[in-house]
Amino acid sequence: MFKNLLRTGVTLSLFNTTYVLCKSNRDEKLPHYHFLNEQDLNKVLKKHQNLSIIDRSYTEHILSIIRDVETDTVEFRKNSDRLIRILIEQAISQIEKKKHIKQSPLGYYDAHEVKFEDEEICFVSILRSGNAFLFEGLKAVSGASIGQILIQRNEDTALPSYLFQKLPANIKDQQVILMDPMLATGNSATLALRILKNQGVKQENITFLTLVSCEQGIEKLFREFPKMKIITAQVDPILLKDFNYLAPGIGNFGDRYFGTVKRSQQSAQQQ
Amino acid sequence: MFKNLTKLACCLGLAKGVFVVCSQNVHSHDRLQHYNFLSEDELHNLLKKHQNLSILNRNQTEHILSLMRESNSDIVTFRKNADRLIRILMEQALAQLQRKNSIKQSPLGFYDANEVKFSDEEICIVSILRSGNAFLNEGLRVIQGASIGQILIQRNEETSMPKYFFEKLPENIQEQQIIMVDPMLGTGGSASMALKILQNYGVKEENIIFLTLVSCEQGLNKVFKEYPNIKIITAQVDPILIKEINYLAPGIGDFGDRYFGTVKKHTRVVQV
Repeated sequence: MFKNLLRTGVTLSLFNTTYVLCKSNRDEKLPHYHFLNEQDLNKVLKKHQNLSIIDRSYTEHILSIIRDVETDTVEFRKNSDRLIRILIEQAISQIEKKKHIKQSPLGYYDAHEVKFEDEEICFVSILRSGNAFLFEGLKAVSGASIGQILIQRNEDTALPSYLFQKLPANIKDQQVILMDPMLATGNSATLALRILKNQGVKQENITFLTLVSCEQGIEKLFREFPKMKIITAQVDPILLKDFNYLAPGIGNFGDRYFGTVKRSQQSAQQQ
Repeated sequence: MFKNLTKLACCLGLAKGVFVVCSQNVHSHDRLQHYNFLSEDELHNLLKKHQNLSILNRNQTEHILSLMRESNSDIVTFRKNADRLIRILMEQALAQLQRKNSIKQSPLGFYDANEVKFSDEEICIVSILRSGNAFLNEGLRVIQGASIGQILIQRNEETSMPKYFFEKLPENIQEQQIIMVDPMLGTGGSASMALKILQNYGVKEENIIFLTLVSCEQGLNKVFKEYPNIKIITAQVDPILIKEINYLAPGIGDFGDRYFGTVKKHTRVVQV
């Protein structure tokens, strides 16, 4: 009996050790990513005059919750919406204004208003994730027209392929706000921008909104389309080469926002 | 016949003359002034004077405020734009709350998480009734779990002095982060009274952020003189506070009436 107990004891402790080893191995495989510091960000901004990065004090809390694997769908959506609203307000503040004189109950004042009507603004969403921007977008500009471009990444080649588009007929006359939550390699965005160019949209009339981006993607876009504007909430430090993932990133924004992947199934899939 | 024609012409000429003279008197346009906003330099000086003052970036606010100020804006436009502006102010207030550091995990790996140190419930939005309540709509969208305090202060029509009527504040308010809200800051009388009440409850100045859409130097000076350690965030600083009636100019008119739809049609008198 003593021998059996001994064997049981040894087996159990073996299990325990194995468990401990495996657990710490799993955790140790995940690196710790540090964000770009103020100097690095300033360099990026200097390099690209048409780039805006939203002030850290607005975004770090919200982004932290979105990045966290533990965050459930409700919190993810709520915080994404808040961040998207901040981005959209920033985009609208950069649209050209015109001046007139208007009357308040007290007297006249100089009115600076956006030069364009709601209908002259077009939100172009890169499906599927870009659609998340539409909820808050329409709250801010209720009369805007919506364009949609479906681009999906080919699993084998990792290159984006164009599948479908529905854009307003007069889109070349509109102020375009292009939306996609993540900007990694920049391949999908480039494809979408070429489609817009073919429709006659001028670069100066395009603002691209993205939640998280990286230097590589930003550089690719500005090289081909130097006159457009990009507004991002944060620039992540790393683009993992083999998988083209942003790190620390958000994971797959579309899956998390639209609830098509359960939390337990989250492996790092990428845009 | 010539005499009659002459008489007719004279009458017509007189009539026209009278018309022109009367019409000039009727044109109230001449009585209404054109107010120019403060220049960048003046705003800069104001910000230097008051370290705890933040003025929202003009690019974000001028379009929205212009639509709100305009007399002809209907109530839907007014509310929609007020809500947009209030949301921007709220985000700015939250951006100024203290953060704490931790390490969290994303699907890819660990990252440095800087999150607001307080949970929703530790934040209290204190609204100065009635106009302050307009902030609660967007406020609760951003901080769903916040507690709401209410203080009713009304301006006495004759003396122009604020009068306290009522308050309902959380019991543990001295432990909370306060976001006090009132759309207009004119003389600073009401705000000052509300801050006094908060102080009596044990709230520390450093824990108070005061949000206001339109303010003026006079009001800002008064509030900061009495409570130098609070923070104030405003969307725009108007140039004039009209002395006799204590109205901001160009101002918005009576924010409460316009937002809640209680403007009397024939009234053009403005309260702040």
